[in-house]
Amino acid sequence: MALTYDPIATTTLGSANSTITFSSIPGTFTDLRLVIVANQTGSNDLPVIRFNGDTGNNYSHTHIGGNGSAGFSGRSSNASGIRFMSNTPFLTGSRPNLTIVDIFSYSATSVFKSVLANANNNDGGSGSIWRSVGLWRNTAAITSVTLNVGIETMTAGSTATLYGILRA
Amino acid sequence: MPLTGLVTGARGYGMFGASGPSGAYDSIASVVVGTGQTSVTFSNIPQTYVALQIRILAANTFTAGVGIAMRFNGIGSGYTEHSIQGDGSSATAQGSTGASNIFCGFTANATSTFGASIIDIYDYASTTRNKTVRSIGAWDENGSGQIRSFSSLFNNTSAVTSIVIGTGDNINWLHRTLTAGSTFSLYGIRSA
Repeated sequence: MALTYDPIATTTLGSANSTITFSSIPGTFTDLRLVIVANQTGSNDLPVIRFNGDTGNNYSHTHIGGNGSAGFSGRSSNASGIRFMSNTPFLTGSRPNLTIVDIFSYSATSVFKSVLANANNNDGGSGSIWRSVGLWRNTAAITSVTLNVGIETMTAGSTATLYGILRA
Repeated sequence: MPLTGLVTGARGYGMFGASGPSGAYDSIASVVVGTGQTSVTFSNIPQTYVALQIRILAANTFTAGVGIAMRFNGIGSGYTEHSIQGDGSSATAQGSTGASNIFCGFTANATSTFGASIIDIYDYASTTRNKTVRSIGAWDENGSGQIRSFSSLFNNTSAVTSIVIGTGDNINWLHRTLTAGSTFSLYGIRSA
């Protein structure tokens, strides 16, 4: 019998890579939670999450954040992925970014998919906090999730763990 | 663990037991909203956890951005809220005191689109502490949206035994209809 909060898979990068993908996700849970602890090599691209390999302009998001001196808000529409964290600062060494992404009703086939992201980074002298809501305009059940940092890479040792959450 | 006190459109699992073995994070109850509902009630909440979490995927039949609010133990006073909000162009801060509800999330309105909210209620079973609530609620409809992070207080040391949650904010209460299929799920978190 499935647990209420169950780890599905963990990926730890053995070498730098721009993507992490979870595939063949079982459809037996209600929500998914992705916990990411990662460093990036630079800040010249926008980290996004994509579903089922869809690279079309079927995503959007709205975010709020703070960088230690100002609050900010923005959004994207008809985008090729859901922004799930700020692209700055890029963190090195032993100061990883911590991001939690919640994906609601991922296996439902009657709704577009809603996502909440909570990203946090602090490099000692700089940092940011980021909260966003994202939408994938597709009613298909999610069977794969891909994190993509574009032209940058996540460093070796970066980890992502996918959990399933099952409601009563 | 047996479920107790599910109301209004609740659906159980087997003998209304939790969905899996008991652990640090238990599913207590879940409600899928039917047609014409403005709220969901969780009652007779077990007092055996250290915290509660409510996960919501909800829409309303009126317009995007209608809020989600809740009351504890049927009490309509003594709530305080502070929050930060982003609307896609600017970040703002808000607050209220002496409110009749806890404003804690958002609903969406577009076809097939639902807002998402996560609400954490700490020390809900304490009879010596007032109740602190952390929540985040948001909606995005591809060109419009809001995201808001809330910190709230129920200025009452009574243990929380029931929660009514539905459309509302710190002024309005159950003023709009939830879209059928909206889901409200209650979880309990144990300490060691």
